[in-house]
Amino acid sequence: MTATKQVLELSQLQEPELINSAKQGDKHAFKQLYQLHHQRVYALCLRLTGQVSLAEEATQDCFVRLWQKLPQFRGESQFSTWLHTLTVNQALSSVKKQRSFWARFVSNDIDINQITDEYEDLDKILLKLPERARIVFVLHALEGYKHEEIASLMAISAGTSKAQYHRAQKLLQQLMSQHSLNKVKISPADNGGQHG
Amino acid sequence: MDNSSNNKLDPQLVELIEQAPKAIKPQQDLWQGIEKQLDKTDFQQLNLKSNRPQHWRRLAIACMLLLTTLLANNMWQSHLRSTTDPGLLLTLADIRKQHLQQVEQLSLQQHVNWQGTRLGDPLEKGIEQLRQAAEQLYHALQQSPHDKELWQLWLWTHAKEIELLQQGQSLPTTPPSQGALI
Repeated sequence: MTATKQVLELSQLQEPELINSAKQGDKHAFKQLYQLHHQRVYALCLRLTGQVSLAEEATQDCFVRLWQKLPQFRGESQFSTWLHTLTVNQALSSVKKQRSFWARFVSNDIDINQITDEYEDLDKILLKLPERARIVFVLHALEGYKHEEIASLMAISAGTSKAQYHRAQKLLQQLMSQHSLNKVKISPADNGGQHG
Repeated sequence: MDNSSNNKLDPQLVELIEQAPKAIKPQQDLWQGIEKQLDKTDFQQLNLKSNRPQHWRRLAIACMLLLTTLLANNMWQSHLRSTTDPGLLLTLADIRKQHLQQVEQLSLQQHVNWQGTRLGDPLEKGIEQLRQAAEQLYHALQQSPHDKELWQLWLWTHAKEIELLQQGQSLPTTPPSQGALI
């Protein structure tokens, strides 16, 4: 059997079969799982870490951790839910490792216009938020976590989580108005009509 | 998603959240880095079983070291006590004996019988209190002979007792208007 044929056959396998094969140590099956889920994992890591390099590192760590923990997956919950929890924990752990004292309080000094266009509007302004406010906002508003769950994950009180959420909300509204002003300034005519 | 709290959000922000993509493509291929780490993980997992007893061995060695240190410390302390305490206790007993002899000599040299007089009463009470205090301090010193403050206090009670006994000797037989000071 040729390698190409093997890969083709693997790609036709369903997710539970891929999981079972990967559990047995099949790296080809694991790669298929990676290809199925890595963009979702990366999106979550990017939003939680707020940095491309850290998000890449966290995504890689996530899949390495997944490889180690996969034998523990019993199929009692959905694989995507299980992977999601693992990703959140891994991304928060990466943030904690990299965290500087000031990063917790001060917003990232990033120029919105310098962020590449491959990110959608929300992701552009999310990167501008202070670390804690961004994490709380992503987990609550985008991922649907309750404040009590966030509090437990981040070792803070539910009240702090709520306060950070409202702080993020206010900052995002300010950033949105700033962002829309910038958009008006860089009109298609000024930009040669190439700005998307 | 917690819709109730998102309902309170700015409509523009809600729209952005709804439009936010669930997946984002990384700027570079991350699989190669993962694959390298998987190989490393495999190697580590193979060694994990043989490493596990080593982990316990390390813990056991640490415990043994701790136990040895504690025992050595304990033995050293008791050794110190056994070597220094008898000497100190002997000195303590000697000083007490000398003091008692001095008190006895003073009572033998007594020319005036001031005890039992109106002027001698406060002196007598003071001496009695000093003796009680000296006795308590002596027992305390037997328990902790290295306590410098106890030593100072004990020796002070001795000196004060001698001083009061000498004051008693100089008391007039017919009382003047002033009394003795303690």
